[in-house]
Amino acid sequence: MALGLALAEGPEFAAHYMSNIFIGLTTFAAVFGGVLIGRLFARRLPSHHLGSETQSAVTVAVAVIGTLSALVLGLMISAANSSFSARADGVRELSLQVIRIERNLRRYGPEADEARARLRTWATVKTQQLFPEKNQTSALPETAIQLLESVQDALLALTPQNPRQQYLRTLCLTLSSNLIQARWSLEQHMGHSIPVPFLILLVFWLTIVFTSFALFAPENSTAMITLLLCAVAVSGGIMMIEELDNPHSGLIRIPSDSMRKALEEVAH
Amino acid sequence: MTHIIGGLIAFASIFGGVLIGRLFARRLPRHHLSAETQSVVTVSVAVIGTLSALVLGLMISAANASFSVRSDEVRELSLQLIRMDRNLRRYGPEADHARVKLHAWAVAKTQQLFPEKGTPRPSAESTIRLLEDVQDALLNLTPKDERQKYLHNLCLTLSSTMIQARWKLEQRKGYSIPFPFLVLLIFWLAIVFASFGLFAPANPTALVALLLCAIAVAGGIVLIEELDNPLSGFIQIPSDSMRSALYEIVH
Repeated sequence: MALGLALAEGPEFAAHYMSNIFIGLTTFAAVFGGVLIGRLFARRLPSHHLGSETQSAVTVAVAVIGTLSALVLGLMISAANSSFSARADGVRELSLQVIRIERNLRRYGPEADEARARLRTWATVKTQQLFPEKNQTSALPETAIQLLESVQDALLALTPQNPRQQYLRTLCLTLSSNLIQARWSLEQHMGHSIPVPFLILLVFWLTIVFTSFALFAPENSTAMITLLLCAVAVSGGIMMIEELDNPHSGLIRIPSDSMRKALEEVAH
Repeated sequence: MTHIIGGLIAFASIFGGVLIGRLFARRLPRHHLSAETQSVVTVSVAVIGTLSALVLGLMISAANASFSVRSDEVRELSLQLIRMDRNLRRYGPEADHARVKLHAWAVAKTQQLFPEKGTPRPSAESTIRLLEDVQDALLNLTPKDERQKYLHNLCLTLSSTMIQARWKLEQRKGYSIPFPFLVLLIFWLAIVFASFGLFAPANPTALVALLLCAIAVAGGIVLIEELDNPLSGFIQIPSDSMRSALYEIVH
C-alpha cells in the first residue's frame, strides 16, 4: 500500500520514498546476512575453533565494536533529529516573517497594496515549492527569489508621508531582508548531512557484531528470532537517520501548517 | 492529557514486552532457554539497550534545553515590559496614553500565556494588535525637547524589540519528535524488555523490578512530550517573572 501511495504521488516522490526504504532494507540484508554467515561458519568450522576460550576472545573484541556502533548510531540519530528540528524551525521562521511583513504593510496603508500583492504571490509560489502537491510543477527557485526581491523593490518605491509611515517603511525593509536571509538559510540546510561512506562503515560494524553473535548462538529458533528482531531494530535506526535527513520525502516530513497559516493570513 | 495517554501507551507496549517474554519463557521447550541462548540474547539486546538509553537520554536533554530557551524568552519579554514602562514614565504625562495601552497588553499577554481557570484566554491576534497599538501610540507622540526625543527613540526601539521577542516566543514550538521516531524508540524498548522478561525467574521481585523500570522509561518519554509543550501539562514555564513585571508597572 505504501508503494502504491508512493507511485501515485509522482516519480520523484516515489524515488525518494523508495530510497529510504531501500537503505533500510539493504542495512537489514547486510546485518541479517551477517547472522546467516555466522550460522554457516558455526556449522562448518571444526568444533575446537568454537571453544569457550575462542568465544571469550571474540566476545570481548566484538563488545568494543558493539558499544562503538550503538554509541555512534545513537549520536547520529540524535544529530539527525536536531537538524530536522532546525529545518522545521527554519520553515516556521519564514512563515512568521511573512505574517509580520504583511501586518506592518497593512498598518502602512493602501499605498503598500502593491507590495502586499507581490508578497502574496511570493508566499503562494514558495509554499508550492516547499510542499509540492500532486500533479503540480513547482516553480524554479530562481523565480521565487526574484519575486521576493521584487517585494523589496516595491517597498523601496514607497514614499512615506509622515514619521509613522517612515518608521513602518524602515521596519518593513528590515523585515524583508530578514525574510530573504531566512529563505537562504533554509536553502542552506536542505542538503544531506550524513556522508554515505560513514553510513557504509556503520553498517559494516553492525554486520561484524551480528555475525559474531550468530557464530556462538545455539541452534534454536528463540536465538534466531532475537537476532532477527535486533537486526530489524538497528536497520530501523539507520532508516530513521535517512528519514530525518530528507525532510521533504518519506514518512517524516516538515509540517506545512505554519506556512499554510501564513498564506491564509496574507490572502485576506 | 495527550501526554498521559502517550505515556500510558508507551508503558503498555514496554510492559507488554515483559509479559510476552514471560509467556514465551513458560511455553518454550527447556533447551531453548539454555545458558548459551541466554548469552546470545543478552549480548545482542545489549546493543539495542545501549542505543535506546542513549537516544532517550539525548532527547530528554535536548527537550530540556529548548524548554530553558522558552523560559528565557518569557523572562526577556517581562524585562522589556518593565524597561518600556520606566522610560514612558520618564517621558512625562504625554506618554500616559501609551502606558495605558501597554498595561492593557501586559494583562492580556499574561492571561494568554498563563490562563487562569474559568477565564477566557485572549487570542494571539488580539494581543499582538494591542502591542501594535502601543507602538502606534508611541509614533503619535511629538517630542518637545532633546530629552523627550531621546526617550521617544528609546521607547520605539524597545517596542520593536518587544514585538520581536513576542514573535520569537510564538515561533519556538519547541523540540519536536516526529511520530514514526517515537514509535521506533518504543519498539526498541519493547524488544529490550521482552528479552529481560524471557530470562527472568518467575518471582514477584523480578517482576516488580521490571515493572518499575518500564514505568521509569515510559516516564522519560512523557517527560520529553511535557518539555515540548511548556504551556500545558505538569511542567510549565514559570509565570513569576511576568507577574512581577505586571505588579511593578501597575504600582
